[in-house]
Order: sequence, then structure tokens, then C-alpha cells
Amino acid sequence: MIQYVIAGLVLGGIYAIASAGLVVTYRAAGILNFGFGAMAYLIARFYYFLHSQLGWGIVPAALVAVVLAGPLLGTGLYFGLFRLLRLSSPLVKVVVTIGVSVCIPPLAAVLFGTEPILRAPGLAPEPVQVFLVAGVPVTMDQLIVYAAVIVVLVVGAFVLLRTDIGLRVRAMVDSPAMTSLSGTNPRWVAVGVWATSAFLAGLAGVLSAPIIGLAPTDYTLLMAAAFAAVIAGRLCNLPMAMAVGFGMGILSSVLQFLLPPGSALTAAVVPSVPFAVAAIFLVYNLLRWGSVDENDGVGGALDLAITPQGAESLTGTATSAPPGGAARRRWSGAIPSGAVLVVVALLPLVLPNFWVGLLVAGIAYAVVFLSITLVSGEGGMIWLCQVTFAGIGAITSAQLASVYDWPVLLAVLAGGAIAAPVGLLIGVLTIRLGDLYVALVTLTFGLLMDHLVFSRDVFVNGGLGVPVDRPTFATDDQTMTYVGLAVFVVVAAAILNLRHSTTGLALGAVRTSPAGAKTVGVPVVRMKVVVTGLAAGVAGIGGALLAVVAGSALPENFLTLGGMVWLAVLVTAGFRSVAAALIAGVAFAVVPGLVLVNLSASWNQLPPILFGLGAIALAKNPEGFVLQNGRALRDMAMRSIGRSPAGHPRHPAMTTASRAAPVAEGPGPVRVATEGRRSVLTETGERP
Amino acid sequence: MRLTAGSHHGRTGHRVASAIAILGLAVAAAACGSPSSSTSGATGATIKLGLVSSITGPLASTFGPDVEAGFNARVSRENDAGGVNGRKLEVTVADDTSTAPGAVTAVQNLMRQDVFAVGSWSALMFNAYKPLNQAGIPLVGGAFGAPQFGDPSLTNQFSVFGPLDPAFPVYDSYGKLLKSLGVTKLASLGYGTVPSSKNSATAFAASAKAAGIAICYENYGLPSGGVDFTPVALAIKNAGCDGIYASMVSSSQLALAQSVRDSGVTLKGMVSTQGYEQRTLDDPRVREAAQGITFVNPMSLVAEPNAGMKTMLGDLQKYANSTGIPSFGEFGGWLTADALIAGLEAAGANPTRESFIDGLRKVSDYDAGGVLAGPTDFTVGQIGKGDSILSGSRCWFALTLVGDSFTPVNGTTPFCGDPVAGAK
Repeated sequence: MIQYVIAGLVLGGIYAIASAGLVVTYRAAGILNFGFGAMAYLIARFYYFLHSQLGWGIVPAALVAVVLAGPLLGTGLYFGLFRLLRLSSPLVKVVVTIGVSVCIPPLAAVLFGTEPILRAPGLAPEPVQVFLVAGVPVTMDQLIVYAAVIVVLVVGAFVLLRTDIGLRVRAMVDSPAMTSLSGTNPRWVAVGVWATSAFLAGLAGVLSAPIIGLAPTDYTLLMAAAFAAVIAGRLCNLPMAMAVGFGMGILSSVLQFLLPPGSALTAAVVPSVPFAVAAIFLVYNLLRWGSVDENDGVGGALDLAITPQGAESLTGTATSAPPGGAARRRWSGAIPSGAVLVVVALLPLVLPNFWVGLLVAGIAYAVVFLSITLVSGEGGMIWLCQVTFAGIGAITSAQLASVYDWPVLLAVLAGGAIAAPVGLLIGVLTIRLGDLYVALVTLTFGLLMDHLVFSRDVFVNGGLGVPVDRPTFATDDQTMTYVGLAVFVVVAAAILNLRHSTTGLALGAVRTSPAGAKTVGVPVVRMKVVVTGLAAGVAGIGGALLAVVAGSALPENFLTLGGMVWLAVLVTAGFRSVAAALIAGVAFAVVPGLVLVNLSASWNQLPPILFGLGAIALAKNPEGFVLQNGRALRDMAMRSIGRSPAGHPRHPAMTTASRAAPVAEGPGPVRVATEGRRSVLTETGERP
Repeated sequence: MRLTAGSHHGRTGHRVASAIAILGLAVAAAACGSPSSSTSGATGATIKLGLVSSITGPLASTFGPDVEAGFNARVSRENDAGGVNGRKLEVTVADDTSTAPGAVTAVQNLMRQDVFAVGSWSALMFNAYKPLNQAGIPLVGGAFGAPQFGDPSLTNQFSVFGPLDPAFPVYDSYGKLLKSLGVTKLASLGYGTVPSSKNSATAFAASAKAAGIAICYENYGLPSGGVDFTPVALAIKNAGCDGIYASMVSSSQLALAQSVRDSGVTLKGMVSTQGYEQRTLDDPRVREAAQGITFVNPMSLVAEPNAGMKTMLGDLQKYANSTGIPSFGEFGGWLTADALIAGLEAAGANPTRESFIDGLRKVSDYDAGGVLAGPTDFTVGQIGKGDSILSGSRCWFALTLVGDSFTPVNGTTPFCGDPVAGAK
């Protein structure tokens, strides 16, 4: 068994380095970098390009790729992107880094081509020497991993504990506000942190290439394990995270020794190790501390008091009533949504069949996106597993319709009905967790479902998915479009109704200030859990619709990483607007078709890059383009009929009840951001 | 302080205008799709052929632009010789972007352009074949993972590389190969989450058992994706195996082979269904890791080419600028085009889709002029029958990588198999 422990140390070392990079970024910059794996892949691919394709020597290639290009990438990302996120809401931070992870693999394909890489070299000179340690073959590549981990630990500890720069970093981490008051320029510390984090990512990537391969998908398991280690370290504890990383590598290897090799159990258990580890540590921390929040142990009450805060909370700011009261507010919101709906409803009558086929898929996507609008837009929670609920809905409805001969539409509803309790359960389990933990837990849940449920042959059906026929009255795309639109309208109306009901206002109160809402007596827990259940149900219905449109429920279409792209697309359009959900869904289906028809095959990497960039644009544009343009369009319309658009105050304090801003489907954030010595007031509304 | 107010109106107007422009452009582009016509694509001078494959995306490493190159190479030779019965061939390529919905879109795109027949070298056609079937458009291509190619009621579909019998019948040829390599104890491996991988590995193991070879280690629960194979290599060593069959992707097989070698195990044979390509010889890392692996594939020998193989190599060199052993994509693209042309020739002087289907259904010994190791029977009674490990091929060649070239096992004679009665 000692052999398996030694064998597991290699992967463990890589997990440790990756988790170190994640913790460093989180502690020092406040951003959990979901794009870490993608960055690791890019640097590793660059190293391969220099060393294997251009023929550079190992040392120059490693120096340029890991020591130069990595930190440059980190610095570039900081100046271009992460700098803007300092005071953004957790959702924006998560989605922007997801945008980075969506963008990078197709960019790498564009830069370096799509030639398959069957064997990637590491840093060891070739032919690679092999040593036998207690009967276990240990290659030079693996020895270099161990050495790198030790060096990172030693040098990192020395720099942090013994040098001046380390002192400043630790000060920044303990209390960013105090540090900036004492004269340290946080900008340069941040640059240093991102450069180091990117260096660690590049190092992890290059080291793991000979061991786990060099394809973007290979880095998924690496990321899941790194996140589990980071959760174990409560996002802040570097030694703990690295130790757990090591432990997971060893555990995976030992399990392969202990469990019988032929059984389906082993196939399920080994990839589930990261998730089990994450779950165990979360439960332990919950039991010990009562709640787990990412703000624990970072800064303190003083820090929170003196840091300038935006009025923006998780996903939006305080709503303010328009002149004319609630009725006016409701209708002013309905006009842009109604316009979009009418346009989409007319499209099947004018477009050729090919495009209607894409449109009907787009509407099914729009229903799934509505679930994200519900859980993130209304409920204010970052859930990364809506795609999983969609998948549950799809496979359930397929089983019911095909195997048990239920009528299709009933099966679709049943799909939603099965997904909803799962969402409720996850909601209950995560209720005491902070926003970022919820994101991590839902991501982990999604990945676990991918491995355990979506891989079962009863659903995969040999790779075809279980077939689903369309309802007999809707076998052609046009009729199916209207069926889909009907479902969309019903769900959207329900969401709008919720938004303007007491429950919706209560949810808004919870979004803006959970503490304040509790004081007033709003039942926070119950509200949130109800919303998560509803959202999961809606996602299930959307997923079932997707299966009906596609003709089969293919679990591969509902994998968690694909869901990140869906999130990116929706958030670009805006996650607080039902019109945005419809536009996002249609765009997601139609844009690749446009590229396919009008551009040559080499442009096919464009849609994922665009979607990723759209998510990244959220950094500058947290509301999404639909709300921004919707408000502008409406104001333009009102100006053209001679009415002055209702005013929009720059400070909530200046609002009086009768002169407040109109609310379309979401208010504009009024944000006071302080960066260094520059003060920027951003507004997104019109002046009165 | 209102830094942004001055430019605000201009910026708003610009944003609104750009949003409207984008929306308008999208609708216009969509609406300007070509109107559907009612011809069946075989107008006087040209015949339109469509090709679906994974030109981009993760599967491009297995398929990729090579498929297009191989297809065009075969078509170009035909056009240079005057076309089929005087009609030149026009090719439209539709990329499925390595996704199943992409394949559906690709097929619909081809139908929108009114192609006469569709060739497919894609693993993702299982949702996309229905509209072709409903419209009576012939579909010719590779049947990987697509059982509909084995459905006898779908007579418009012709598989040149399959059909995949979902029951994974056990053929005796693999056991014969292992015996000739000297393997006595076989380790059989497959992915836990990919049913075809597990089925392929179990069928292979059953073939070995039928030839009297012991199974020393079976693991059908490997996680798919790049993994470290040291624990597996240790287990194989401890079980005393001298042969391996791993139904996994190339990169995993190479990693496994290297791990096993590093553990100090000397194998009599490791069999792989992928990797008989120029790339294996050209990339020094791949070549080193693949030493001693025996590759099976249904293509006839390249080193000692028969007339048909010489023709294919000539086409690829002249029109696709490609030398050496054809890649899976080049082979598939060329083969698909060749089968489509065979169908057009069988369709007669004035081809219609029906005459194409009827004509090709009568061909019982299609072997692409000798490029395939054994003949494919297109008659209706043979739909759905075949060896599923190597995609339908009863006959195949086995070559072992020794040094920097492939050495055929069994000389110029292919291994041909028959189903093993009562084995599973």
C-alpha cells in the first residue's frame, strides 16, 4: 500500500500548488479565481508551443512561459479586468472569472491550433529518467513536482514572514482599509499578487501536463480538487488547503488499491473524492461555527466600517418607486418585455425553417435562463448548478415519456416537479453558507451529478440519450416554437408577479440588507428556500423542453461546465430582466448558427469567445446590456412623445417619494468607488 | 462629481443605436437564408454533396480539417476525370463543432442548401439523421456510436465503417491476434462512464478467453479524462499480466503504456484500435511511448500498398499535400467520398436520390477499390451486422510499432473474424 501512497503524492503535489494559487488570490485580492484552471492550461499550452513545436530548450521555454508569460498574463488580467472588480458584488466576481475560463480554451485553439497533443513533456529532460522507490516507478517529472512544492512552500513562507513586501501583503490581507490608510499603495500589492497567482497557475499547468495530459478538459478534475482543498481551508488557510490537496491525491490513489477494480462503485467513488472532502469539511465547519461565510477571518468589524461600500449588494440596489405608484411601475416594466416577446413571436412566421429550428431551441434555453433570473436575480444567490436541474428535468421527462409512455407535456411538467425538491434540498443545505461558498457548493454538486448520475447508461443510452418525441400537435418547428413561448410566458409572468408581490419585496429587502430584513421580521430562510425550489423546478421544465426540441435527452448537453457558458450568456444580457432571458436564450442558439452559415469553419471558435467576453464585460457593466439599453430605449420613446423621462436621483438620500426613479426590471446601481486617490461616481440613469 | 454626465447622452444614443443595429443585422441575416427549392440537387452539370464532420471543437483532434481534406481529395480526382457520368461534384462542408446540437444544425444547413446526398464522418449523428431519413436524402458515412445505422428500416443510410452492433458480438479474430503475439494473460480496461468503452473491452476479453487466454486483471471503472496511471500499472504488474487491451483514448493509452513500462513490466502485446497514423511516427514523444503497441485498423497496408491504397495515397498527396500514413480523418473523408461516388455510379446516368439508394443497396462487396481490408456488404439483410470493436470490420490488419516503422503481424494477410458461438 505504501506504493500507492507514493504514487498519490504526485497528483497531491499538483493539487497543493493549485490550491495555494487560489488561496493567495482570494486572500489578497478578494476574488476566487474560477479561471485558474484555464490560465494553467494556457501557460502549459504555451510552454508546449515553445518547447515542442518551436524546439526551444527546456530552460528557456520554461523561463519564458512560466516566469515571464504567466506573471504578464496575471498583470494584464489585473489591469484589464480584476482591478475593476474590487468593489463588485460576489456574483459579478464569480461570473467574470467564469467568463475568463470560458474564453481561454477557444483562444488557445485560435492561437496554437487544434492539433491533438498525445504526450506533453514536462520540465524533465528527455528521455525521462525513472527511479524505483519501494518498487514504485517515479519519473523525473514527478520528482520535479515534489521539488517545486517544497520550493513554493519554503520561498513563499520566507517571503511572507521575513520580508518587507511579505509584511505589506499580510497587512493587506488582514485589513485592506487600514493598509491603504497607512500609505501602502494597494495597487502594486495587487499587481504582485495576481502576478504570483498566475505564476503558480502556470507552474501547476506545466508540471501537470505530462501527468494528466494537455487538453482543456483535463483541467476540470484539477480544479474540482483544488476548490475542495480551498473549501477545506475555509478559503483563507493556506497550509490547510495545501495539506488537504496532498491528502486528496493520496486518498484517490489508495482507494484505487483498496476498492475492487471491476466494480461500478470504484468508477463512481474515485472521481467523487474531491466532493466528499469538500462536503466533510463544510459539515464540520458548519457544526463548529454555526455558519460559514467567506468574510470570516478577513478584516474585521473596523475594516468593514471604514471601507467605502457601494450601495450595491449582491445583485442590485434598493428599489425606489416611480411616480404614479405601483401600477405605473409595473406597466413601464412591461413595455420593453412585451416588445421583445412580440418580435420573437412573429419571427417563426417570417424566417425560413432552418432558423426557426434554432429559434425553438433558443426559447427552451430562455426558460432555463429564467430559472437563473429567479434564483440569482430575485433570490440574490449565486447558483452554478441550474444546468444540472435542467438535466434532471430532461432525463426524467425522457424516461417518463419513452419508457412509461406518459404524454409529453405532462412528462415535461413532471421533470420540473422532480427537479424542484432537489433544488429545495440543496437550498436547505446551503442556507447557512456565505455567497461564495454557495457558489462553490453548487458547482461541486453539479460536477458530482455529472459523474454519478449523468453518466449512468440508463440515461446516456450508449451515447444517444433517451429519445423524446414531440407532442403530436407540435411536430413542426413553428408550432413547437409557440408551445415553448407559451411556457416561457407563463413562467415569466409568474416571476414578474413574484417580483411585485409581498414575497418579492421581501426578497428585495433580503438582497439589499439581510440584517435589516431580519430586524423587520422577514423570514429570510424560508424565502430563500422557496425561491431555490421554484428555480430548480423552472430549470427542470426548461431542460425537459430542450430535450423535446432536440429529440432526445442527452446528459452530455447538461454538464456543469457547459452551464457556466449559459450563465455567462444570460448575465451578459442581464439577470434581472425576463426580456433579457429571452434575448439571451435566442442569441445562444442563433449566434452559432449565424457563424456557421456566414463565416468559414475557422470562425467557429468565435461564439464561445464572444460569450466569455460578454461575461467579462460585466465588470464594467454589472446590469447587463438589456437593462441598460431597455431603459435608454424607453426614455427615448418617452421623450419622443413629449414626456420627460422620470428622474433618477444620484443619491438615494436625495430621493423624495414623488420624484423617484422609474424601475424597469431592475434599478441602476449607484456606486461610489474609491480607488487610490481617484473617486468615480457612476450612474446609469437620466438626470431629472 | 459627475465625470460621466457630459458624454452620457452621446453614449446612451450610441449604445441604443448599436443594439438596434445588431438586432436588425441578426434578423436580416437570418431572413436572407436561401429560399428552399424543390430540386433534388442533381441539376444538369453538377451534383451537390454535403459533408458533416467535427472540423472544430474537442473532437477535431480525432477528426478535424483532415476529413475535409480527404473528402475533397477524392472528389477533386473525380472532377478532374470529368465527374460522375459527366456531372461534376460540388462539396459543401458543415461543421458539427463537436456537439450533438451542432450536428443537427449542420445537417439542417446542408438540407437548406439542397444537397443531393450527405456524407458523414462524425460521431454525433444520432440526433441529426432523422430529417435526412424523412426527406429520403442518402446518408453515407461512418457509423461510430450511432445505432441507427444498424436499423434495417432506415434504408437511406449506408455505413462504410460500421454498423455498430449494439450487442457487441464476440469475434474470434482478436483472440487469434493475441495468440500470435504470444500473450497468455490479458488485462482488459475500459472507462466506467462510457458504455461503448466497457462493452468493447468486455467483448475483447471474451474473444481472448475463447482463444484460451486467461484474464488476469479487469478494470471497467476507470474515470475518463487524463489520469495518472501509476496505480493501474502497479495492479497490472502485481497480477502478472503480459498483455493489455485498453479501450481508451490515445493519450490515455500512451500514458498507460509508459507507466507499465516504467514499472518494469515487459509485455508480449498491447493492442490498440487507434494510432496507426503518421503522427505516431513523427512525434518523438508519441513514438517512444507507443513502442511495442500493436495497432489494429481496417485500412489495408500502406507500406506494401495494393492498387486501391496506391490510388488513395496518390489522391492525398496530390490534392491534400499529405504524405505518409493517412490520419483517421483523411482516411474517413476519402472513404466517405469514395462511397458516395460509388453510389452515384450505381444510380445510373440520371441519378435521383431513389436510384442512388436502390443502386447502392445492391452492392455487396464494396471495399473502396482495395483500401478496406475486407469487403462491406450494403445489402439490406446485412444492415446492423458487424464487429463492434473495430466498427463493423470483419477483416483488419495488425501492425506493431518497432523502432520508427510499423511491422505487420501476419505479413500481408489480414485477420478476418467470425462470431464466436455462444460466447459473452
